[in-house]
Amino acid sequence: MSLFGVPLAAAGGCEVVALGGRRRVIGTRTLAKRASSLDGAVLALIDNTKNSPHFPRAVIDALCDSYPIDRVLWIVKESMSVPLEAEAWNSVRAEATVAVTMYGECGSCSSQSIRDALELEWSGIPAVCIAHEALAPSIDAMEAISGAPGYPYLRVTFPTQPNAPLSPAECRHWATTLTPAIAGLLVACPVPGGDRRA
Amino acid sequence: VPELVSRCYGDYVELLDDLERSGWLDGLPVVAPTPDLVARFVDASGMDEAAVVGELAVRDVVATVGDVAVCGVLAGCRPEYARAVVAAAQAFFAPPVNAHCTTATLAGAAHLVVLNGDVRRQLQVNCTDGCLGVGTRANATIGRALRLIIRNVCHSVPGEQDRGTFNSPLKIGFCFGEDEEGSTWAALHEERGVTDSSAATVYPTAWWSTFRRVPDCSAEAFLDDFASFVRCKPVQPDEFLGESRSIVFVIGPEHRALLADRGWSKADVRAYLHPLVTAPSDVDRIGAPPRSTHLAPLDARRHGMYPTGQPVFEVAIPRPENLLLVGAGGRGRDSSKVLYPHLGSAVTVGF
Repeated sequence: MSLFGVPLAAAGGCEVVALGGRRRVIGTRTLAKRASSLDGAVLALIDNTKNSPHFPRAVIDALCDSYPIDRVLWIVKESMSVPLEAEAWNSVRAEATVAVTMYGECGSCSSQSIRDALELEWSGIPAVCIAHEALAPSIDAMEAISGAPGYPYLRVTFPTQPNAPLSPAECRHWATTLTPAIAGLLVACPVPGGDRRA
Repeated sequence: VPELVSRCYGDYVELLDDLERSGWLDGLPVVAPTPDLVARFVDASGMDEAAVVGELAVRDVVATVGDVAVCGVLAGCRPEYARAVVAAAQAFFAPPVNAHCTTATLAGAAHLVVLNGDVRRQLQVNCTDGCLGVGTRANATIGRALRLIIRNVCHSVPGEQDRGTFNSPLKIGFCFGEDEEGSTWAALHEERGVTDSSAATVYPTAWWSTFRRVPDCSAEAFLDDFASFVRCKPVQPDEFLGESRSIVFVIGPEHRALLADRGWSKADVRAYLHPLVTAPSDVDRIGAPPRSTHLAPLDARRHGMYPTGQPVFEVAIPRPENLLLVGAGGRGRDSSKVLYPHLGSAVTVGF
């Protein structure tokens, strides 16, 4: 047998070069120890701009209304699917004690958002990513690539995937509903393979 | 960087079955990447097998010349295509292409490769009749090689990390050359600073449309119509892309003739078009929140903020030189193509 003139089955078989990208050499990656509580926490909210400021604002308000959070760093990224800028990243690492990354609404922003959460974890900051359930395959893929399959995140079931159609009042309703689950993931030990469905 | 390793199969069918099971195929058969073929490809690149072509840190990926060679052979490339494939890969990994975003998106973005310079003749790259489609080995396999790098090295597997809801046939491979001999216009790569070699330009594109216009008018009237046509889709600003935000117009031969015969250079066309396509539109009055790049018109309409009537969008390309004009295509249809960007910009690499 041959293909484009290349003998393939000679001497009982063919040898091919194995595929696959080289993985970067990385050190040990471990998830952060969960916070004992949110009392006096410094919350970093990593906002990927999807899709309006109402929803992250509502999440911040709902968390601050429910828990004695000391301070909030609301970080808006340069673009929906890029890592946090270095200056902002340094600031979060220096100050935040817990973090929320959001909002996973599209293929690239959801996978970047879960990666943001994982990188925060690897830096010792307990984190939770909020994403729409339609993007679960994207998040699962990024978790597998990152060596963290089953890392818990918060799946939401908004009637529409983008949250831009939600009014500020609807955003507040959703944020209030999600608050216990957000807190639960920040202060409880993540269970591999688990997830929280709102 | 670990060395490439090899694996043995009983025959070609067994190889294909295993590659399919392992998720390495784009749906089409591939050429077996035998050590000899991969070595010939690496040799033709003029680079070391372990040399790093690019990195995608968010996926823990480092791509080497060896990886590129495997994908090039799988795609059906001749060894002499190696330098073009490596250059395309280098361009793809450059930050403005926004590689993670443009290969994980729901929008099904494709990655166009435009070749310029002597390499087009050396590799018999199609630049004219049917150049955006099938039928030419160099076009088909160089474009496919980049796609296999995106899939097999960068883990963009459809249904998994690649979230394209419908995806696009352009993602089998999308490569053509500029018809530099077909007009007096300056070539794309020269305008982008590569003056002494061939070049590959990579551009992530999410959608294209065809502009038809019989060239029986003045250049100004033609460009007025073209600008209106371009504005049927928005291109939003993006802080990360900043000044690099770009859009590609593939100008067919009749339209090139209309403009060039009246003495219009590419720079003249860009200078005329830029204020027309970037002028503020009624859609801006909806008051999108700061830094939001995704307030869709339908969403805005639901809130009663969207003006009635046909939308005319702003195409937010920051500089005239980022309107990239590429001459290509065959005669007979008086048409040009508008290739709208996904959330990435064009990058040109000389080789």
